[in-house]
Amino acid sequence: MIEVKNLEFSIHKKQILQQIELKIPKNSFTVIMGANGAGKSTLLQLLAGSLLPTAGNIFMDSVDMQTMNARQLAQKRAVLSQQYYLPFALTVREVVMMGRYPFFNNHPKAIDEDIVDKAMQLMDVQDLGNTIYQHLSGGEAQKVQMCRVLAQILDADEQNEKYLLLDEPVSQLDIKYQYQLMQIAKQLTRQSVTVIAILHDINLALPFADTLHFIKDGCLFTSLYPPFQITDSLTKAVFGIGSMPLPIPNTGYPFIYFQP
Amino acid sequence: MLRYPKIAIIVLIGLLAITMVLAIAWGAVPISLHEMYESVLLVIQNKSLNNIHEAVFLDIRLPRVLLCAITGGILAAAGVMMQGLFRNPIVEPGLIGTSAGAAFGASFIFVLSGTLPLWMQHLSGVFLLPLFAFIGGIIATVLVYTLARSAFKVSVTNLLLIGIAINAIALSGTGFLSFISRDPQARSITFWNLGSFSGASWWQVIIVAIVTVPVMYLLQRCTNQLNALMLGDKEAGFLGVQTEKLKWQILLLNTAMVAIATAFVGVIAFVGLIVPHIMRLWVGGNNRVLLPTAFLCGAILLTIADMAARLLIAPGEIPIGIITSLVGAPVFIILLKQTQLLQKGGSGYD
Repeated sequence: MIEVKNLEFSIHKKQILQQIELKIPKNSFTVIMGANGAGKSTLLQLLAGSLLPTAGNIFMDSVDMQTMNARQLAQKRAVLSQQYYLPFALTVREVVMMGRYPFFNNHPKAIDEDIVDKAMQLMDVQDLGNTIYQHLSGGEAQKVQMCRVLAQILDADEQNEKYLLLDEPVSQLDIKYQYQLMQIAKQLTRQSVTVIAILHDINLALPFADTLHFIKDGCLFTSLYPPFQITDSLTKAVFGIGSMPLPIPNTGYPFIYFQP
Repeated sequence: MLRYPKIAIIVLIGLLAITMVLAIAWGAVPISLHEMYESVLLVIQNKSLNNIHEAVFLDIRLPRVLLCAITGGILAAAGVMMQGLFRNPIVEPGLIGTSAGAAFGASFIFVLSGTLPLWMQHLSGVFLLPLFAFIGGIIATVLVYTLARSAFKVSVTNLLLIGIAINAIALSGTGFLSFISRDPQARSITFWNLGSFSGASWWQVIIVAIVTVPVMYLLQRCTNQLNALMLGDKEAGFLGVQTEKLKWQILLLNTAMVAIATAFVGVIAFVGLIVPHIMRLWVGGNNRVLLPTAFLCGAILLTIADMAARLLIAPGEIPIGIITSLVGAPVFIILLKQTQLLQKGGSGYD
């Protein structure tokens, strides 16, 4: 469980986030949404520990994140970003093995090899092990990066909760892969992983999310839980565009039709 | 990329041994395998040597070939580490000021100590020369690094341009010191700017080896973290790498070994550029494998280059830096072109 208490962040005297109070329950799928520049990426960086709050605290399993070092954090949470560029040729397996770096010092142990195998099977890239990463297509490369991130958290269990942070992970991918990635993330929430994702597509978020947090102008605007009551006034306020929810039969969520 | 990296290492060790034996054997005074064997035996038994050939072998050829091999390894390994650090294949110690700064520091103490009594000169050679080379090397490297760094990012274009400027300052400083020096060896500007192994001695070999062994051990321990850095600074941080600490650690270790080698042999450019490039084609980009194989390959290539330097216009000698630059500069241009092509493809780094 992650608890955010009175979080503030400013850079160059500019306030980016203020008075953020959040509780992210364990094994939940939390989605953070907001317009560009609202501060959601900054919030994710703070949750990942790559930025330090100007004021307030973030507690990860009741431990103040500021007291954890880089390696301790890396053993607790993984972060998937949008795009990666690798300057030198590595094999796919070498890239995925990076996800185990926080867990061994020089040589990977048998368990690290096993987890890498498992992660590659999950993403269906087990045949690419010896392929050069740079030779992959954009979609394959993103799958391999997801594998690397999975390798970091796949050994989570009830005694050892882990966190998966997704920073707009699907924005450049085709539809099938977007849903595949969301499904795998959802599966992980049943295996002691808490997922926190920044997504732009509200219709991609609704089938998977347990909670939707809307960020506006550096503040937490509102939080929604199923059944998600997404109204015209909400999307106008948060995204600056009106909308109409269309009920989808036999599901607990609507389809959001945007109308300018 | 390479399934059996151990085989690559064994092959390279074999090649290095052959190259070193050939480098010892060929020269103004040819030395046979039998003479090598016999003189080693005599030294072990603490007996006096039989002839001039054995003396040439033990006092001149062997320390020269050893110093050359270790220096080649150092420059290549430093190239691997710097390229990993800057996430770019066109960086090497000669280009970012390390070598020129070290040469300046070394020439400073070299010229200054010429005025000291003889026993102090020897002492300064043992302690002050490497120390000043290190100080010169680290100042130049840190200057280039910090000046090229803007908004949390090191632009490689800036890095190379500022490298040119700092190199020019260091080289003109070295040139001035050589000019005012009374010592005939220090007066030879070409020695510092183009490098030479003609002055190799056993104590130089020992000092360089004493520094290189622990530094290479520590660098090898950084290689996983250096791999993670390929993903980017922030992403490496997500994998538990303390990137700032890692950068300073690698810069210091690199500079230490490059500076000490440079103090004794002068600036030898482009080895740190060509060798990692060749080895990446063979063993791939994984720094765990790349670092030791590049060290060995650098040792082999510089030994061959030194052989060429001694034999091409024998009994005269070409400064070795001329040979490495002649081969290395075209490789640099090719790499630069490739990198520019990548950049146009929107690779996302500058």
